[in-house]
Amino acid sequence: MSALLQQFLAEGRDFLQSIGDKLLALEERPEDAELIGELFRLVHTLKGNSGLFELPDMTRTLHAAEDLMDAVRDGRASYARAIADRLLEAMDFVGRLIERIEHEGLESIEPDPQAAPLAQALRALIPAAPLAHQDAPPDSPQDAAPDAAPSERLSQIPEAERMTLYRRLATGERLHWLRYCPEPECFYKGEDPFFQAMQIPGVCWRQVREREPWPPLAELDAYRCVLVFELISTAECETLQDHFRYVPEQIELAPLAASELMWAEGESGDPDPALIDFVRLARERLAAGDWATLARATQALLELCSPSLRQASLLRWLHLVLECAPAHSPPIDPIDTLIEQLATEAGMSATAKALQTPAPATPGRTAHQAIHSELLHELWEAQRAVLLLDDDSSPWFAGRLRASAASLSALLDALGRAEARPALEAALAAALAQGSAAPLRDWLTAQPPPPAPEDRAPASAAPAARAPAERPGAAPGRADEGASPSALPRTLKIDQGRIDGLMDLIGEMVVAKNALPYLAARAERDYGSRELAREIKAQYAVINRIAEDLQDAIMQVRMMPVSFVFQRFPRLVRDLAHKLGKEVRLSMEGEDTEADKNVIEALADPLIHILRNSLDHGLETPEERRAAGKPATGQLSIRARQESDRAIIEISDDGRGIDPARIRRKAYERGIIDETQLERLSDQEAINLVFAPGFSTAEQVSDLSGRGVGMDVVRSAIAAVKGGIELRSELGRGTRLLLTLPLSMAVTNVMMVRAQGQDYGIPMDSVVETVRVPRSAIRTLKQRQATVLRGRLVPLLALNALLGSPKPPQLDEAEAHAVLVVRVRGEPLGLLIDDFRETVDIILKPLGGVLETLRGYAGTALLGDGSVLLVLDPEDLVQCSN
Amino acid sequence: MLELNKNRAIAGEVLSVEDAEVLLEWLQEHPRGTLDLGACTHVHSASLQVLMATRATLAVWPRAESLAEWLGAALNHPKE
Amino acid sequence: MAKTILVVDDSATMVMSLKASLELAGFSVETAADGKLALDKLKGGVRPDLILTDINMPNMGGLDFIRAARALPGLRFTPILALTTESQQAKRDEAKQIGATGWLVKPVGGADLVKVIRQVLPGA
Repeated sequence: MSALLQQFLAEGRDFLQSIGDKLLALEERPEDAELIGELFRLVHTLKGNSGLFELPDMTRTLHAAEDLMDAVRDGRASYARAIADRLLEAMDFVGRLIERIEHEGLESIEPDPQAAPLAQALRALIPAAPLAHQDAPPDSPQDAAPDAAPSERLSQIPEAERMTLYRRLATGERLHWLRYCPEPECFYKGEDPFFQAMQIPGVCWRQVREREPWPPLAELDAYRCVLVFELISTAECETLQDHFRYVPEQIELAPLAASELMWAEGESGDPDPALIDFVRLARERLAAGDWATLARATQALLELCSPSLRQASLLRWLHLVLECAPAHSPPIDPIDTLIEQLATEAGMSATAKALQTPAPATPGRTAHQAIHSELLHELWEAQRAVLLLDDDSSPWFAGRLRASAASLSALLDALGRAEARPALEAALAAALAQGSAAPLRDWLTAQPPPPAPEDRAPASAAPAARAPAERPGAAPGRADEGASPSALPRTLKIDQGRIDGLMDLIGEMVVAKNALPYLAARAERDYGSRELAREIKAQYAVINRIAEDLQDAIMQVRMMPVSFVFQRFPRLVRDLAHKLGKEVRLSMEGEDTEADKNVIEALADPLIHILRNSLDHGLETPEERRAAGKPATGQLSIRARQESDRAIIEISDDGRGIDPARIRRKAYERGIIDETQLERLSDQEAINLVFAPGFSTAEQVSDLSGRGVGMDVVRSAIAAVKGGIELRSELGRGTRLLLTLPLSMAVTNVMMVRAQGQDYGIPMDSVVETVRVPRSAIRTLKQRQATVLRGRLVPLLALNALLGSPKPPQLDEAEAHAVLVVRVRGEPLGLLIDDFRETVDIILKPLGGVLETLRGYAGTALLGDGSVLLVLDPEDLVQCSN
Repeated sequence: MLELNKNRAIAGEVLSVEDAEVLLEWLQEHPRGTLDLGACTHVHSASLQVLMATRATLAVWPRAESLAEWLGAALNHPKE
Repeated sequence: MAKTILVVDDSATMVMSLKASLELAGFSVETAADGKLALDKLKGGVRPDLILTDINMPNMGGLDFIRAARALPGLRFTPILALTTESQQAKRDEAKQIGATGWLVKPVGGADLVKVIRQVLPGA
């Protein structure tokens, strides 16, 4: 799969998610224009992206969705539930396509019969657009009559050129005449008209001239474009129009007709008898259609008369027309016209149709063009920005100063402040002398700026101007830009494998680092060098700190906001509530609370299960709620927050709550509790029974929340990431679940303990305390050992026994047992061990391969001396030994 | 890159938009200065305007044919 | 020397596609995910020979970006092409009005893209 496709799929999923979120948000705030705009943008972008691939169904569906959102944005359609439903449907369809591409590849996508109805359903919601909204095709320059008279257009073309063009036209070639008058400020739009003109294909004649006479050089503004390009090209009209598609209003374009080229140059000579004879003969031959004689006569006279005379020019044209014409059907009109023109030259008749020499083009100096104040203002501010640049010794620094001063000088003219020019010139001279822009800057500061254009909001006024003068060299810009309320964090998407790789490396580094204290100990013990040992320890401290920082940093990288999981809830809750006929308002808080990626990912399924439970069993139908005196709409809230090193997620509803009596009964029926417990259990303890394995009640198995999965699964999923879960419920008032999660799972602090002559690690999370209990303080009750700690009976188990060894735990010199008190299922339990060791930070690796199924172990970790530490999971260990 | 000497301005590959004012300045200060556009493949419109307005003399025309042709059309003012 | 093109688009997919096409044609490419970030780049001294910018973007859209970029020193004359879609005639006109050199209609294939760029960027 190409990287581009992968990117498209990943981004597509994000877009779909955002689109879904926005649609739901829009149900709450249907008038929110910003939201509608954002939604349009997302759909629009996604459609644009889909166009990069061969995905007609996706593009078509998104295009329809885009048009619908456009209509909503324009106010042509108003947002309604039906629109949301159709759009959500369409996005689901797109989502399925994306999943399919992801798993089966782009080739697997075949035309889908669903696409057309989806697009139709979307389009059905768009009111017919008024015609004004549709793109009108640009006026074709060919249709528009050119401003200039045809003869004027070509007045600059010398006869020889015109004749060449005539020959080309005569061979059936099609030519176009084009004039390009770029707008004066076009350079400030990044345009380069000369470059545009040079790229016109098939140019067979060209001319570049100025629109108005050049001013004295001192007043010349090189950046005000006054160029006019005229040319004749063999290119098709469409090609030329396309070439100038960005500036269609700046060109005149017309097909070139042969007759336009045909006019005579030169001066009239004295009346010539030979010419009079020729005209008589020519009229006669024309009438007779005797072209060959006419041609010969023309040729003969041409050889007699001076080529600079007007009559010679006319004769040349006549000869050319006859020469180019098909043998028996020359064009009569132009020949007639030329002969009559010759008659005029011969002084024969005044009635002849005259072929006028076109007046030379005299592009009179146009009235000083009103320059938009905005342009002036921007120019002024641009100079200020230029002058704020750092002074430097580069060879172009002086040029920059001069250019800036020249621009300012021109601006002064434009503003009618020519009297300020001497001061400007003095400032320039000073600046050049000092090699610093300061004098010019000071001059500029002292000048009143050009009036700001009124039609601009102050916020958008020339940003460069806002750079404070006391910060020369600072990048000019608006100070308030960073305060954009919708500013998105800059993010970098990284493949998880890379992060994991980095994580492994850091793990190795931590391990390697842990070897240093051993080395220090050896240096002292084996080599007797205390000095070296101290140095190693000092180095260790440094490396240790860096390693810790590294760990923290990578941990930060792995942190994800809970919104990753939360974001799908609004849709989920909406759909479920609709299905169940319930009205629910979901509120979410603290979506930006972060925790490790693994923790966040592990959270998804349990949370969905909890939400389903709430919707299915917790919240009542509107009727039930009203009968109970509650508002018809139920409240469901998810709040996340961080408390020291834990992330807390609280899910609460104001539904019917859990009835402890019913739980007791069910638990008893299922044999989870016995009769005595039935009576002894407090309400809270009863409620906690929902976490018991196998509690899942028959009512719980519905098509929604069911699958026969109970809260016990939720609890073990949370426990797997070392999280805790707490349930509180008040009958008739609602239920609240509190999930407590570690922020990070990367580094585990374990206590090392010794048993059967080997070290084991116990996660500090589950360690309550370490005590030494004299043998005499251990009692045996029904073959079970226990002791009293702080007034409470704590059961004791030998770790050896849990690990399957019959060896009794060792006693210390004082005949006492080392007891590690851990918390199992919320209750303290004492583990009898041989001895305590130190606590260490380790990177826990789950057991792999055949060991994966081994119960009771959390995993392994490498220690600094290279040995492997087995880390126990006390809870699991105790459970599987039962 | 535009190299300005006492009597000769030598253009690099492109006579750019930014060069226009520098060139204008130089041509004003050196009315007899001539230009070497031999290496030039493109002249920005702004610089072209300067060449046209100052009726600058090209001592060396661009070797690039197309540019030479177009410059010729722009700088050789047709007879009026 | 390779010409530098600044590509501004909030869609990472679009950026990736454009960047690949441009780099294949020998351009050096800078990218930014919205107008604001692009402006930051320009203010940070990046001086592209040409800018390609999307219109619809969060934080700062293409039109505002073009306006702001034009006011920066050294960017008065830089060609700017707006990336639009076939339905955005009005936006194209507006972009042109405020200082864009032209526009491209998305999706734009590599060959077309490079052709249009060579049309507005001398020496490219």
